[in-house]
Amino acid sequence: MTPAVQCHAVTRRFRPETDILREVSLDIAEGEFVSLIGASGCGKTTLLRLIAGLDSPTLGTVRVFGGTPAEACARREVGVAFQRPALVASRTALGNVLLTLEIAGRSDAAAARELLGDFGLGSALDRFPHQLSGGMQQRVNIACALVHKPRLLVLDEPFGALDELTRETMTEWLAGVWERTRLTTVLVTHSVEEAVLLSDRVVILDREPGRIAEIVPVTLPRPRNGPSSSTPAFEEAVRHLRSRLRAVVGKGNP
Amino acid sequence: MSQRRGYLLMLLSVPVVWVMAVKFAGLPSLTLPPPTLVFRVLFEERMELLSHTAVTVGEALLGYLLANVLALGLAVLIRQARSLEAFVTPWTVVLKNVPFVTIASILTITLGDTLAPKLIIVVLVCFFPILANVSKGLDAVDPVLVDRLRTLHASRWQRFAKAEWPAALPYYMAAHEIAFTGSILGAIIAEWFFARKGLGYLIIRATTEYRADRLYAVTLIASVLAVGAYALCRAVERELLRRRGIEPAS
Repeated sequence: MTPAVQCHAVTRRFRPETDILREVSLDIAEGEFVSLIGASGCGKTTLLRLIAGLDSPTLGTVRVFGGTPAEACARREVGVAFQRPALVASRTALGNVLLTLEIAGRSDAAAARELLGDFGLGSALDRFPHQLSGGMQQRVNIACALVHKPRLLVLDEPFGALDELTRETMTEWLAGVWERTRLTTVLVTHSVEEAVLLSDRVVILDREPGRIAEIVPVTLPRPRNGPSSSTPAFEEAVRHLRSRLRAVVGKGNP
Repeated sequence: MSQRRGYLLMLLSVPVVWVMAVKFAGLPSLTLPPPTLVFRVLFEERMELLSHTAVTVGEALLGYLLANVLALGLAVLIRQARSLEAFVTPWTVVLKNVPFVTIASILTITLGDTLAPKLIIVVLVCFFPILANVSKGLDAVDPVLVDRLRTLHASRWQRFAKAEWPAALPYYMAAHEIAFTGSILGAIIAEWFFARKGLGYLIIRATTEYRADRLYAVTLIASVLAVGAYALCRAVERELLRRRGIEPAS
């Protein structure tokens, strides 16, 4: 079976002699949740942008569902959510979700309402972004990325700007959403706990140049949200990933 | 003190200061007419004043509309074709900085007492604030939102209509505070040079006839028009933005 995402020997050079990514190869299976983790400047977001069709590799190829990322975008198979919610200030929560459908040429307002209702925002449909909390804004943002039923969800530190407690709640919420959709997902994160809770595999990136240092599979049974996130097995998985991450990051920082 | 009270205090202060100035300056009414005399002129010559005011307002509105069309069109065009900016910028910089009173004189000599020079002056006054603000607003679009729309394969028009224009709207509204009030000023100045109608013409006529009472009456009308235009802009801006859940741009 063709992987959902195929990165083959991808190099992204921003200036001559500066490779943000060098010869990165990674396959992501359909329905798999993969997290990208690593020190700042290791090229996580660059790799994510290449997969989402927002940038092009200098060398190598990126394929999404057998075609170029741009083709996948044209088929409306990609949904993205960034750290800063990409919401239009003059549109309500519902209006922002509908914006995705308007661009995609669909008019399923009921689906947008239902999705926001599922996300616990049923009473906030008519609120403008500035009237929502950070966590609510991010839920609207993820609803915007999901409402057109993409096959690939791309998340760039979606909870990075939230406080610790909200972040934990939102991570568990996202785990629940993913359990229901089983969507192919690529997540950029700095949080080891977040990566373990959500991922099937965690890709640790090294920097200067950015390349895959190690891929750590997470074999914990699902669902992982709720009480299972405080079991010894979960804590061991977190400890293991953290030690692998330290080993990679520590090489460049004696 | 609230802003509303501040305005009320100012409105009350003007006649008080005026009366006191008349009383204590000791100037003849030919030079400094008392408010009663000016209000008598406003009443007795109301039909003539009204017809001249209508001419000025008409020129201001027409020029203002034209400036909107041109400035919006150019701002959008530059946004869509960035290479145009290098060509357009030197023209806008030069036109903006040439004193428009000299342009007004040249236009009057060239085009005579027609509507054209007045419209051109009003357009010159209104055009640049709108162009500058709309361009700034279009550039203020959230790049993250643009990225989101790109992953949805949004067309250029969709990106403009759904993301760039909503971002530019508060800036566009703010431009009207300068441009709309400026249109009245532009029309009056254009009428100064060569006209037989309008408030600018009345100012020149009152000056040459030593009619300080009429000069003050025209000043009052022009001030009310300009302040009214400003207040209208603010009210429309607040209402439009309130409906869209946006705070007005400072």
